Amino acid sequence: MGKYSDLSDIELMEKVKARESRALEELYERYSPLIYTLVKKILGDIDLTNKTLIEIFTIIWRKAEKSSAAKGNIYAWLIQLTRNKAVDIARRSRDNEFSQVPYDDEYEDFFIIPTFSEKMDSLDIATAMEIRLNIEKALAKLTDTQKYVIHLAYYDGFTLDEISKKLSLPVETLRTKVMTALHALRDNLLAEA
Amino acid sequence: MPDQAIHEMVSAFASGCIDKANYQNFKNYLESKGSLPYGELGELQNLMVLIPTILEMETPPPDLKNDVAKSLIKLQKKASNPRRLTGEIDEIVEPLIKPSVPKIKPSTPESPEVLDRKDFLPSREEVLGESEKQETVAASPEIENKSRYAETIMNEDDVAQTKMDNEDEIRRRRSESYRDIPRLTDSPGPEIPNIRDILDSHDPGFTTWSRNNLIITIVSSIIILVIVLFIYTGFESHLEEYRTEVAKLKTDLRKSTEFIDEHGALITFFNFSDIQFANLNGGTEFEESTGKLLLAFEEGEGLLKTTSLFPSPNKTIYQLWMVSRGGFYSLLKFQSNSTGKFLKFSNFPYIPPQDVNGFRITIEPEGGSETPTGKTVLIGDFRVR
Repeated sequence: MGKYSDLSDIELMEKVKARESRALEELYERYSPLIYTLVKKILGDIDLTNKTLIEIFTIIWRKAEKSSAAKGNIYAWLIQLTRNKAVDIARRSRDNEFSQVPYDDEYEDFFIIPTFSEKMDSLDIATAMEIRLNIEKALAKLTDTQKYVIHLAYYDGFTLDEISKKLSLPVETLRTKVMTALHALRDNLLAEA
Repeated sequence: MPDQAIHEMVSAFASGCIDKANYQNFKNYLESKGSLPYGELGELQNLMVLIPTILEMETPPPDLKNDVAKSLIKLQKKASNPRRLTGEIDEIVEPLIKPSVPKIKPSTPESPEVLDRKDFLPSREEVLGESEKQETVAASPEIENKSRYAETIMNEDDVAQTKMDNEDEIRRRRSESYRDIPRLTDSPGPEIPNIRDILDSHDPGFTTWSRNNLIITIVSSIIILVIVLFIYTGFESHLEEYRTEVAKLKTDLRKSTEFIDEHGALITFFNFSDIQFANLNGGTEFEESTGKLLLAFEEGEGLLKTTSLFPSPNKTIYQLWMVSRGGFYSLLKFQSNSTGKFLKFSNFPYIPPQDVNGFRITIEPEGGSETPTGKTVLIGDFRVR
């Protein structure tokens, strides 16, 4: 594993694309704690979390070539893919209508594989972990409502309509609140840097 | 689309709360490189994927790695191309399933690595030729000795398998040879020759054989020694790398433990959704001291952090009070908090947050008081946010 552990996320993903399973193994070693933690946070149930983690690494193996769209930000690609997949499972379990939507390859490509802005800074897991304290501080500075809105959107996967009903707020107001919350978080993080 | 609406849509997309129809429209627009604030979108997308880093990390169960490997194998089995299947399964299984099981090649008659017993045995022609040769050179004692030696190491099974035609002749020669070999029971006792005796022996065939064996033994020993040294040196170098790695991991572990010790309570606390804050300031004698309170009313839990608060005087403690409608409710008793860590308190009486007027820390006798009796150290008002 020595050879692979020295590789960057981008180099590893290139090797996964070339069907080098040891690269996937290294990616597992590097990311599985964070992916597992995120999935467990979203789904709660341990058995379901275990199954979902397996599914996520299967998707990474099958759809590795689509990570090129992340412009080298493999960290963001993996974490957003994980979040999308876990939230999709959570939505299907709570929404009967949504659970009827067929999950096929086309659906996976469109709704699970993330799409990113072409202007996105590169990020890897080591950097992300280094600045986690700053993130924590930046989040702590948000108001309770802002934190709650971000939680409902990101971890629970509720849509704007669902959150507005939950908080008894008009959708238009909620849209502004989401934007304000994200901008405040960004500004707080810049101030912490 | 108005400017404000675009920014709102970008934020909704980045945070993942956009509904299905709008998601499709926005994604299609994004992929077709429509006019959007791409810089802002990139920033917000990066921001959202950083949020999970503050969660308390958990390690997946060790068996899960094998389950991932098994899942990939199943995936490959579904593939229609069998040629591709074989190669990729091996490629996936070997590194992921540990400890690895060495491959065992099936033994087939065609395999060049599996040799039939007949390959080890002399051919009929070889044996016949040898025996004929022995007859012609019987006059030479040196060659005769060698023949006898060769015959004595042949056992009856080997002879039977070669199915020689002149078995009788060979049996006769063999019995003669056996007669010539001195038996241990006949001799007074074996003398153990030293190497020089062997080398100085008058039997030139035996001397050459011994010398060759000795050289082969010495060369083999040197080669083995070099290999062992090579492996040992490599092992030492790997060991050193592993030692460095272990030391690094220990340092990381220590740092993580310190971090968790310091911030564990705070991180756990932020799982609550209804957190309220209150700031406490020092009175005239304690101007340098400050305090921060975090309160989750529904869960009845709170955290207190103080700065520049000296240890309480002898036989006294600090006591934290919640003030509501003129009443005082004791929340926490503590000696001092010079570590800078958050002090956790729980099960405080449920009072609607809007009924709470403020908080106060006083110096009280050891064991605490029912109501504040001592000097107020820190005080702060409270309003629901």
